[in-house]
Amino acid sequence: MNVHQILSGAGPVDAVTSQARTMRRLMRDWGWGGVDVASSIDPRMGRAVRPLRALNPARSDVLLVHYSAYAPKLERFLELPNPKLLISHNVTPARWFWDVDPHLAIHCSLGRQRLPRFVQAVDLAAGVSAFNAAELRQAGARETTVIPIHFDPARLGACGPDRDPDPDHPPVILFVGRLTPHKRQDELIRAFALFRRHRSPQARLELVGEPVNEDYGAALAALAEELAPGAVRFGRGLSDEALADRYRSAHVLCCLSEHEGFCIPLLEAFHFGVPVVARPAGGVPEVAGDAALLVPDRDPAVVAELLELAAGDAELRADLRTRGRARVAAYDPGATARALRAAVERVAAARNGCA
Amino acid sequence: MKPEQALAHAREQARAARERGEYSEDLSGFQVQVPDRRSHEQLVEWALIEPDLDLVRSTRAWGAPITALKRGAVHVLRQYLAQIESQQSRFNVHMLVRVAELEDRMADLEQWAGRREPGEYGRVDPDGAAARLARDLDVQPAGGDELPERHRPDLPPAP
Repeated sequence: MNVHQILSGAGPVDAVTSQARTMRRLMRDWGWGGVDVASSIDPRMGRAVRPLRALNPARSDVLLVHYSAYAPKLERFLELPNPKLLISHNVTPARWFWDVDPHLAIHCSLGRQRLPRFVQAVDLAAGVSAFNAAELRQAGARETTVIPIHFDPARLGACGPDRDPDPDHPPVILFVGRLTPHKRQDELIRAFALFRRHRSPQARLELVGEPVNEDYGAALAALAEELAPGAVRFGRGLSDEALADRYRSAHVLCCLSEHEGFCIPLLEAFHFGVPVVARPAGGVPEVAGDAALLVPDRDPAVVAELLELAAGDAELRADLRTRGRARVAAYDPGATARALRAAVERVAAARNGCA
Repeated sequence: MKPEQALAHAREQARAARERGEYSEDLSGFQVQVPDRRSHEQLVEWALIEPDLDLVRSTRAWGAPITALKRGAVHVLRQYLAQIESQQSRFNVHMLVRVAELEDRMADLEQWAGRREPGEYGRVDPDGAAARLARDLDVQPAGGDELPERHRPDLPPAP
């Protein structure tokens, strides 16, 4: 069987591209062929991903469309008679970006507006979470399924032994993810400032991720310096090893994001045994299960108190660690591979009459 | 403590701390804002487009010379780019004024026809085409509460 993957863009540090490349490896292991093409390709990708014009599928070949942004050039593939599977990687609502990055806002806006056209033209639409799949049904998808993010903790190395933090070592609160308005690092900095002033004067906050643009990054840095001078460190462009080190030295991962399709850092934190405090938005409750302290409250004082508990209560930490390991097991990469294979075979069988 | 008890405990602790006078400091500063709707002043500000030269840059390795090259290209083309900016801004501003006028006239007509109380201007029909478009594009409607009174003529009572 041939399965061709179609992406809007491809780059060496792009999460969707790395998912597509992982899927290509899986498909190669299954003896499936196909090419990966994208509308725009970072030159650093070499020949791993080809331009759209390189795709000339036979009628029975499956087209796997990765939908993550406005991609008008991909629409022509919807007209082809091939079996089609769409995997939605979730497009953030544009309202978060109009003030900060109008160009990105337009792309998010059009990306969400054009989603119905895509999901109605494919045989099966898959979300990376049940939350995401529900959005696809709202957009008019006839059939949906869930193919979770392929999470392989081995990428980040060993988790290390279970341990409680050294009481003499000041707590480190960690955030991992892009620095963007909807992820609300501004709220996290405020909650951290209260935690530091009232509960743990030596605490530090690590914000790891690329800012949506330099102005936004500078605004967050200024806020951090104003509310918690010298206590907030920003990190970007980290290698897997450096990121793993940040997890290993963290006492708590805190994510107050307002919109998440999946939220991989939760699983990464669980892998390293780091307790999680998170806002129950989008796909977060589904991924976190019972293994995180979910806080819907807007009050930064409540978040500060939860940070205090998650950083200092040994019984709570041990319980969360155990539950977190179970969540990592629930997102075993083998299960994701099986879900992908089942979805591809389903659309192939539906159109071609055979699996 | 069990994880299921943590949130209630944190809320109680925060409440008790506030009673002791803690958590009362000023946390003002940069804050992400997602307003329900955009004011006319905000739209006017956006209508006058002003690209920032500082954001023209390269993020690649050895990006500094590429950044300099890009900024040099913008500088060389500044007369041409100024035309694009000014023509686009001209259209944006005139379109905004035209929309504001229509809002004015619509509000007056609705009031005249008895569909709105005085002062209740610019309410967007939630099922109307404008509201649907705003939802599709995730654009907050401008609303019309800020319309200046001076534009509203005295109208005879509705028949």
